[in-house]
Amino acid sequence: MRIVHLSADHAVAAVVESLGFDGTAADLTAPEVLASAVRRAASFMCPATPRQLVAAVRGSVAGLVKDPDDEASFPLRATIDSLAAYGDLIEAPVSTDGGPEQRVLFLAEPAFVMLGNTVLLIGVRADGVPYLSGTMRELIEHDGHVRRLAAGHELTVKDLEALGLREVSAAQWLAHPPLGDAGDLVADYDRRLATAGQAGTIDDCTILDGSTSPTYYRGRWRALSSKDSGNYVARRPVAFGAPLWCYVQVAHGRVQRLVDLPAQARLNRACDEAWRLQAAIDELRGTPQVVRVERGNRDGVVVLHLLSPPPAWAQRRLDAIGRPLPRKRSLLSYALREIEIEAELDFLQTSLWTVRLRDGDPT
Amino acid sequence: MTAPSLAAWQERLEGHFVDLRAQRDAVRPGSPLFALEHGLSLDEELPQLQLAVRRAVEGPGLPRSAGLPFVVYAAEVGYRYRGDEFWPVFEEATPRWTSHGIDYARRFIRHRFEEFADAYVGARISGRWALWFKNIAWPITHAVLPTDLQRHLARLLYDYRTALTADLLDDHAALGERLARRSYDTSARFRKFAENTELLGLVAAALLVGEDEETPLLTSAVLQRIVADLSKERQAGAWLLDAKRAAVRIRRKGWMQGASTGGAPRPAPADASRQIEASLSLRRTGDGWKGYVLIPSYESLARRVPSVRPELERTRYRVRGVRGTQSTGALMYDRGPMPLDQWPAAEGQTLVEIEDSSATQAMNLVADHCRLPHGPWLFRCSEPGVALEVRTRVVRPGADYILVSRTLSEIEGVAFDCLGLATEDVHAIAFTVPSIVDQAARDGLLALGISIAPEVGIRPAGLVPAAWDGEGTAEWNAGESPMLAIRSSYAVSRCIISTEIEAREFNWPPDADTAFVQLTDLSPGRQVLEIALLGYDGAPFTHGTFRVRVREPVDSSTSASARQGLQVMSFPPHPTLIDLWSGSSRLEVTGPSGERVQFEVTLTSLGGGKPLSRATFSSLLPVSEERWSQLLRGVQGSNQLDSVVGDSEEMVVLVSHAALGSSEVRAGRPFEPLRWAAGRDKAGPFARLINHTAERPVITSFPADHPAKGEPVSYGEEDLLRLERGGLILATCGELQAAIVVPPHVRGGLDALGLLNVRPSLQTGPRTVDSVRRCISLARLWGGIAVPADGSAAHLQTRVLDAIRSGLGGLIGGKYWSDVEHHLLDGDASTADLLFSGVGTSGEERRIAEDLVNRCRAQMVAGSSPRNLYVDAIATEHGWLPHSLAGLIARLARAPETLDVDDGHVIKAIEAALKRPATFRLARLLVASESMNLDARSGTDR
Repeated sequence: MRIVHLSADHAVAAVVESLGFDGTAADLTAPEVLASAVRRAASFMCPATPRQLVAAVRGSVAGLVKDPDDEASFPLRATIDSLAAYGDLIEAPVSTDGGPEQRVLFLAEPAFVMLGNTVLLIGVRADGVPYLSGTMRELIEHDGHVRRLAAGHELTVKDLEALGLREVSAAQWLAHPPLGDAGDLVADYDRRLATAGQAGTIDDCTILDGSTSPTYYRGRWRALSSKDSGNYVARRPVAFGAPLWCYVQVAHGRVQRLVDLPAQARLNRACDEAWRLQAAIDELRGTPQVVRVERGNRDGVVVLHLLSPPPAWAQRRLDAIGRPLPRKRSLLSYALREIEIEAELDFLQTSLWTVRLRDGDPT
Repeated sequence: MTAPSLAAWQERLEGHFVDLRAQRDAVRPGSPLFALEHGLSLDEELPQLQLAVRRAVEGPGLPRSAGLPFVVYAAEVGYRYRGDEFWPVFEEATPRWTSHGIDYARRFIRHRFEEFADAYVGARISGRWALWFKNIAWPITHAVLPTDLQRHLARLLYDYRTALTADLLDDHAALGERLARRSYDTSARFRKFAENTELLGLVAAALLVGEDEETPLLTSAVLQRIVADLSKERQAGAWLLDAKRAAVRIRRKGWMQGASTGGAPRPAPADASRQIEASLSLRRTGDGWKGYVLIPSYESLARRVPSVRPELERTRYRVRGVRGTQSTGALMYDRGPMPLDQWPAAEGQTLVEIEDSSATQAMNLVADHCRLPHGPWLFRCSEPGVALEVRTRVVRPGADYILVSRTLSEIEGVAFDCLGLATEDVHAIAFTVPSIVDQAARDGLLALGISIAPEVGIRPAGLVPAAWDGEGTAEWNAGESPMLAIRSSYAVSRCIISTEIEAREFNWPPDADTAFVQLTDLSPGRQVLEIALLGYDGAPFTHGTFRVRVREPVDSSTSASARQGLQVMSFPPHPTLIDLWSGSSRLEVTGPSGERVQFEVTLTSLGGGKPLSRATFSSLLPVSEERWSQLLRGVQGSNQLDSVVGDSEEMVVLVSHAALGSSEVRAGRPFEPLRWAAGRDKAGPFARLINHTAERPVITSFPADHPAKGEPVSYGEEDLLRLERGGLILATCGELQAAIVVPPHVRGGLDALGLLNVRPSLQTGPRTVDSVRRCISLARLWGGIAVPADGSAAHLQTRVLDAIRSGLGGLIGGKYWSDVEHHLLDGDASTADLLFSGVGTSGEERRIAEDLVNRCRAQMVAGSSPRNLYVDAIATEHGWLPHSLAGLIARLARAPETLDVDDGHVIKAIEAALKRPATFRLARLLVASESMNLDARSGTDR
């Protein structure tokens, strides 16, 4: 064994290099490096809660990243969400010894998705086993949390299967809930709410306030007040674990009934159902959620900024055809080819009732 | 141009191998030659030689004077063949080969290889491989690394690359041995290949030379050929390349170290680190805080001590304080966290209790692992509702802890709350260590064996390690270079880090509270680091300790589903096709409850890898072992799979779910020198012998209706054997035996019922030890040696085994009990009353019987296994027999086919049972009560 003393800068470079990146060109806050660090943590820790992953990764980079607790400069939580949306991690319910169910993250099986000429790589191998063995690793192209096979890879489906990857069809990976009317969707959840039992006492519930502007997601969350009445997307605290997503009926600031999410399918992500339901609520209130489109820094490229969080199935489309970019007054940003933007805006409009902010619209 | 004659090839090859021998002796005297090192071009010369051999075979006799072309020809077939059977491939490639007489022709090849080995110091076959695979061992050994096995070796080398050392790369035998220990997840053929560790190590070392390097072990042509074939599959090629690069780095480093230090090897640190440790935790449940324990997989132990693997894989175990018994072979998986109903009593002793008392090696080894540390037990609240054990019993100011102890503890000087624990036999208090720890608090904690963390904080840095207890112990994978952060809130001048064998000192980074160090070139095992911080006066003002544990190289083939949403385990692990198909190995599938998963069961021929038949079905999660048995019965009943199982070489069970992914279990046929394949054609079911030995087998058949009545069968090498009314066919070659149960030829209707529901007729003889041993031997033949050809044969086998067990029951249990056994065999509804009265005439025997049945029933209702009840009652509670004998009598009653009649302990157990037959009757009663659901209170079946 050899013991080597490293300066903080050399330590960062060593960590970045051990994740397979150029230590002189990237640091631990680079989206690709951060995503790889989370995958590594998950490969040893899953099944684990997002909170456990966050604590482990933050603890390990203390002293190597300026402010690891600052989500804006070190977007760890958002990276975990993106990996779960993309399909590297799977959220599923588990119950310990007859106790209440808790939603935890598992590793997704290593797999590939063929989308035209693009081969997306998803999943994580357990116990730190490399996704592909060393020389094959050079074929992986990292782009934020997205991994693709580099152009010219010449691997066939049979080759990929021999590498221990399972094929997931594009249709399965891009599957989304049936597109429909916002009113029908809200009515479906309202019906579930109406038939739910009395909620009992629920303290410290926070709600997504539909009366606020959909352009600032974090600002829409607030505690219940005695003036509140109606149905809301909400999160309710539990004794142990992260607050649960739910849909609540409130009268004078008190929760009367609630439906825990996910309600439509047990393996849906709770947040995905909540975000789509809120999009429908916003649409019905006449304040639909918005996206912003800007010119990119190259001809033929535009940047799409999402101001509300998209469900996983919407984000996957963007992962497939776009390039994730650092956020810029947005929750997620993607560079897209200009010829594809209209189709994507159409999809967001029909699935999430989203509208495009025009120049001069307030954000 | 005319093609060279056989004699010309002989002459050319003689010259070649003489030269090669001389070359090899110049660099590595005595190193063996392989026939595959023939030096012929593969595209031109080799086909011509093969043509010459085929022409010679078409002639009237096989030419002894031209042995070398045959040796090369056979080695080439060995290099290419896949699957189980060598000779069919050889015969297909060599028209009229069998016209020379199968036995003679095969011996001819073997003798030519023996001559080659004598003349050129060619590789020799050895061990069990040589003894039992006498004819095929030569061409396969001289094929060096057949294509079928290359992928396995490439993966093994890749996985093991992180544990390679310069010494290992120079010591082929040791390298082969290490790789062989890790070969358990490869194919049966590869495992057989790996038994020759010398050859395995030699081939591995040769493959690990660099791109442009030569090896004195094999010709570069053979090496390049293997590498080229391996590289046709990209994954295998990439594995090999990575392993090579690692080996080259290690060699280069070894040379450099040798040059700078004079080559003196550093002493290896003491290996105190291989212990497997159970993880204790506390979790908040609906009933309050509860203790949990995780028992890690014993796979690493099985790799270090290969001889214990069979015992570990076939035994069940209990965890002290945990309800129920773990499945057969569960020691080979991580199990838990499992809830502790009671806190284990045995401090300093293992938490794992092996059920099978005959697994003596496993019991001895297991005693050294997973020991419960001495109390009190300290847990750090790592997140809401979860607290992990801190073995070092070091606390940190400001952090929350729970202390568990036998008696209610108080901490002087520290505020605490008493916690209600849902685990019995211990008490718990929760406390927060004050941010500023005064002397009173320090003393109060010390009184309980708890110390305050030094002012130096040491933690893993950079990447999340494989495991960390949150305090002073962390684990990394082999091949990684762990990074640690050392933090001090005081001004530091220098830092000293030392291990048992070295120390490193460096200046503390100016104006920093944290310094980073990286540890490189770590071998698997544990290292304890002592860290001292020095002030500006040059004196150490604080020190700390950190334990770094490096895991054994991860097996990339088996870690697939461990952390995925869908997990599939087989109990016991590594099942054979017959184990899995017959249900003696069972699967467990876990994942989110209530989700529906799809199963696909495929039977394939390994040689061609083509699916012979397939069945699909689905089930909700979780799929317990019992549920799997139900699902399997449905598949076994399908003629689609059942009709091909006898002829298939691999069974694959794929479990999948659209969102959770998939996982599979593969089970192949063992690569045995003598085995039966089965099939069905217009004339009905048949059995076909696959004989890799050089001997002519003796064949005997045993009809199902007279299972002890063996009759000789005349047999030719290619014959298909049939038994019109079903039964067992036994092949014997010296000590080797292989048996198969074939079904009757059923033509439908009542005929089928009659033939399958056979009532075997048995003569058990006088009530003596020898008669009992004969019965056990018969059970062993039908249940231990024989495998069923298909589902109908399995049914027939069960009927016969039940009859043998029943006959044994009557033989030992006496006249009256014999009647009871007859009723049991007939499934007579009035048996419950008979059973209790049949156990014994004394009140004590009857009372014990009722008590046992009631407890058995209670345990089954509670979901735990009643198997230890009998031994506990007979040996511990009533002292009728020693533990070991009671255990053997329980097995005699339940599964006599698992006993060795020549074992002295077994003979003693038989004598004891004959002397006190009530002990045996009680054991049989318990077996019956499990299947009949007896209730002693009412004396009736339920």
